[in-house]
Amino acid sequence: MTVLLEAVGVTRKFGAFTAVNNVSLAIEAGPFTAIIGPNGAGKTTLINVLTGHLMPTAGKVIFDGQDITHWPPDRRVRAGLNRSFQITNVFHQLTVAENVAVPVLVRRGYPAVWYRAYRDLPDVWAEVSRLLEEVGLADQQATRAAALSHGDRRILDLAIALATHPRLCFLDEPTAGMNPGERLKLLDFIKRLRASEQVTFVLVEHDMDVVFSVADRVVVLDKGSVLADGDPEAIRNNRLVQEVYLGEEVRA
Amino acid sequence: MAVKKPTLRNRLGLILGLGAALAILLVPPLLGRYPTYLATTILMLAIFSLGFNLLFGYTGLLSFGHAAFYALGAYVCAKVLLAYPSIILGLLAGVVAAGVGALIIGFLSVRHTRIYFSMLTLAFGMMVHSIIWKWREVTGGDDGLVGIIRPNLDLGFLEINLNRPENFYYFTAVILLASIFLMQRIVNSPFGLVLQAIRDSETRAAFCGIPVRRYRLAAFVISGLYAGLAGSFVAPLERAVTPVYAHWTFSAEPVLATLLGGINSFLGPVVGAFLFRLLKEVVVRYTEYWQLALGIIVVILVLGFRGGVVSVVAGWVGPWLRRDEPRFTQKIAAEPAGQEAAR
Repeated sequence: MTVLLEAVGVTRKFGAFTAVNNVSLAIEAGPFTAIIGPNGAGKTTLINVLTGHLMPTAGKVIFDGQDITHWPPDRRVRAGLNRSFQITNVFHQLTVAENVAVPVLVRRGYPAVWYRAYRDLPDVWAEVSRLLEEVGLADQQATRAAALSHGDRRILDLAIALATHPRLCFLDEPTAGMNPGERLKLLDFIKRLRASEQVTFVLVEHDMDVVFSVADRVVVLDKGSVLADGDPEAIRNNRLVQEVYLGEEVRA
Repeated sequence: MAVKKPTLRNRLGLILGLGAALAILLVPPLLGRYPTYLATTILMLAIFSLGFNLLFGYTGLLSFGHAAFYALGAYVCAKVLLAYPSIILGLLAGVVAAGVGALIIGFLSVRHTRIYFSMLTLAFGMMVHSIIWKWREVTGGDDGLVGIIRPNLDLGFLEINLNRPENFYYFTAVILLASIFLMQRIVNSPFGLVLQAIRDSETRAAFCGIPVRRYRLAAFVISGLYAGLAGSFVAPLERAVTPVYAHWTFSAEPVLATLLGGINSFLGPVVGAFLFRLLKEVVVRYTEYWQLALGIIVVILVLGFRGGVVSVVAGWVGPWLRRDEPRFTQKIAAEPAGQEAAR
């Protein structure tokens, strides 16, 4: 197994508060990892540091053998590291197709081209239609992102991340704020992604049904530190984890 | 049905375009000397606002300091014309100077957004104003530069006498059309789409692999070049330049013109420039408190025409134009008005 991403002693403080405390973690290419933990455990901060949205206070981040600790997000994305956002982050005035076209034309080397019409790039649009077909947004390609339902906007958010062709993609609570129907649809979508095996996913999630139905490995964070790390069965039976996090839900 | 739809739309565009061209052509012979001068200043403000809106409407950055680039264009063009009688050289030098100025000020400003960006550009703009005001040996201080000549436009095979106001006006009109054409290419290009993505979500744009600051700077410089181009026309038109062109109140002109016309319509700034200048011209005649009156009228118009005059009128005409189209496309087209209000 090749190690894709490695966090070495990563710490992030906000003033006196330590959100992530000396976390060391290796993500291998292939297995589907889930990061869980109670509210305020530092899950989103950890993702933010690993993807370059925040700089760590201490520690190193290594991706594909390179020290990327101080790389800005756009450079990490071009190297193959991306994420979805907990609070949906799409281009709300652009259409669904244009939203996905942005990362595609960046990847294909068009972003600085100013003398050609962006509607006139057949290779880009062929790829955009294919991707929208895959994620099930093809019917809405001409709709503005702002007019989408919450669930569809989350899928669009994910589609934009996937359109950059990441090798490693973090999913930050993809089912947050969804109704049960949308949740099932997204879970199904994540399972299909997992089967395609082109991308390694790291899921940060609250919903235990989602976590235990897709994860090969579960990392438990508590108060900014790694509490436990292992396969789902081991985590389910871990006394410490039951105490701090899973609580009655599992025992019941 | 499928045949009727595009022809109706094309015909309206063609009629509007021809109408506008005819109106532009007929100003000097029908209206005379002063309206021709006024129309020339409208065309200049249109160039200024068109460039300004690449930054404002398309990239989401509101600059309050673009008068600096307008003034840079005006002063450098004036300096060239005072030394060497070539209008083309003057305009070119003015544009280049504004571009260099925009590169420096933009580099320092685009690391911030929203109100912080606006305040920075305001401060840098006023810095340029004070330099022009104080550097008497070069800029003439508060007297400005006077006695600028308006040389003939020498195209090699043809020499046009720009001292005839109508010729100068037509020359400005041709430059505006070229500016519109170029801007149309820019906003419809991949680069233009990337700018709009940055406007909607800076974070997501970065997570698409876009070095956001560099693209913001590019938009800033292009809009500075447009401001410099517009400003370069001041020197030969007025035959004098004064520090007022660098003042922050002058930076407000493209802001107001663009808001009037509509920031989310490509031609909004051009239409807005026309409305704003005309409004100002009328109001100035009736009251010495014209700034107050103009301000009130602009506020009422901006509030009354949410999203700008062009968007509102397009909203009226649009449904009639698209009545034969399937509902699917109508839904998208009807979206903008609501979106703008929400922004």
